[in-house]
Amino acid sequence: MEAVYGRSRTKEKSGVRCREQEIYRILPSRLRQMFRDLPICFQDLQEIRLRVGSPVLFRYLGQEYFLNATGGMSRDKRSAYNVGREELREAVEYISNYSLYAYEEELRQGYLTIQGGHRIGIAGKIILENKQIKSISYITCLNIRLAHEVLGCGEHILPYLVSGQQLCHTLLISPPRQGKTTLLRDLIRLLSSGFVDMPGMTVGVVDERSEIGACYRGQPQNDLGYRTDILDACPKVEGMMLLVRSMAPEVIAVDEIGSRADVEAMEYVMNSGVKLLATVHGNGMDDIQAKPVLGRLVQERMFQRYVILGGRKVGQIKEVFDERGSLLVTGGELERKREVC
Amino acid sequence: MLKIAGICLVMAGCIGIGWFFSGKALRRIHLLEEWESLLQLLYGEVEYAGNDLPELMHHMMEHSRYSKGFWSRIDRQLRQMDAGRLSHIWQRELNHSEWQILQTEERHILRELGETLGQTDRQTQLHAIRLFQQRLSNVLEKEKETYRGQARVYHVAGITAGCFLVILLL
Repeated sequence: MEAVYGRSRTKEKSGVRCREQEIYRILPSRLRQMFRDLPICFQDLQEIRLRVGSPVLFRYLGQEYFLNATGGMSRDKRSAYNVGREELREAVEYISNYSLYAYEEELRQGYLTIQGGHRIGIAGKIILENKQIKSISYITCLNIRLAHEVLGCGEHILPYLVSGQQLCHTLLISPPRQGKTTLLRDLIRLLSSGFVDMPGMTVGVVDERSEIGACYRGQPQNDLGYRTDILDACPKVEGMMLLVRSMAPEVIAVDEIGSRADVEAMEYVMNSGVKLLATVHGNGMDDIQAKPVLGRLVQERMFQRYVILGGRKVGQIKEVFDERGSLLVTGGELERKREVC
Repeated sequence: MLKIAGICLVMAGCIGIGWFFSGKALRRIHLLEEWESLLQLLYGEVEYAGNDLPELMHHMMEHSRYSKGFWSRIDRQLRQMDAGRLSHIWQRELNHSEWQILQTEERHILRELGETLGQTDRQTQLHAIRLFQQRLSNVLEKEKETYRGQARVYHVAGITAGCFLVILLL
């Protein structure tokens, strides 16, 4: 599926690490050399999968390839390079910065975030304690998902989400893997840093799964703007309350709401005079209205704007509605405006 | 006059050699004592701060005197891109000339420590550090006991050898 945003714009980090170095750093030495020799652009590399005793797989430009044992990439499994157990242990050592003891909570969650915001999913033998996941031992599978930030993807939609100089309570509705978190991230950035004639606002972000900011040691690796406060790996409910009480935000952004407790926390936020920007899984307004908890949100007109994503292309906006269900703009109109600009 | 000067020089040389060997044994004890306290520091850092190992290495370097070079080199290497595995780096640094002063048992303990650092969960890591600390402590106690006798022997042997040489040359 072709991304509607096109190729992501390369962001310039002051001084330091580029994307390749961030990934090479965590690969075992043999794999590092093999990836160095590949004729690929790292900006378009999406995912690398390492499994003990299985071929190295990676996703590039939306297609899956094997890493050849003799070098290069192919679709043929027979010539693929298989990962050894010691190689995976070596990778885990680099990923954890030689400090597995320091990442117990992350292991319990099943993923680590490294410098650059790339997320490493981890699987292996689960250790249980009182029927709760305590840790993972014998790590045998790694899923390296390269961070993907699309700066500017929210620029054309933001004018429809504001009224005067204020953001409207906005809900982004999208099926999985359609770019709602990417859009949310850019909206946060634009609101925080200011956009056109709109001044910047103090934005609080509750990033429960470290997908919005992709924090590394508490510092967001994605650009969320310079007026943004972020609570990383914090449960949404507690996070929203904490931000309202302590950081005086003008806007609070959360990803993937759904539970009754989430809705109660959102009501608290709204009653405190803070604007809300949230995302939810769904195919459209009808889908949301059919859900008991979220349907109430729509009926009581808690949100003032609904942005529906979906379609053949990732990041494609289908429609934008207001609180009465009136259509404000279609995806086609937005596309035409983008092309004109 | 010349004879007196010669006697003084011979005596000084022999006593100096005696002092050198006893100083070497004392330096080894100081090194083990430093390791014991650094392991205690490492335990505290892992338990409370949970910092990454490169940061811990830097911390160790700042708090060490006899082993500063060791921690500094490891810290520097861990921050490089193609650093390699910690156990290999650690082993390479243990083979450095500054560690020739240690005996086989101590080097074995330190080598095992390098193989376990950063490989396990926090609780296991803390248990391992405690265990190595205990083993080093036992070695240190034995060495201190041995040193008391050894130091006397080196000093007396130095003086005795000096007197013997003086008499022989006279």
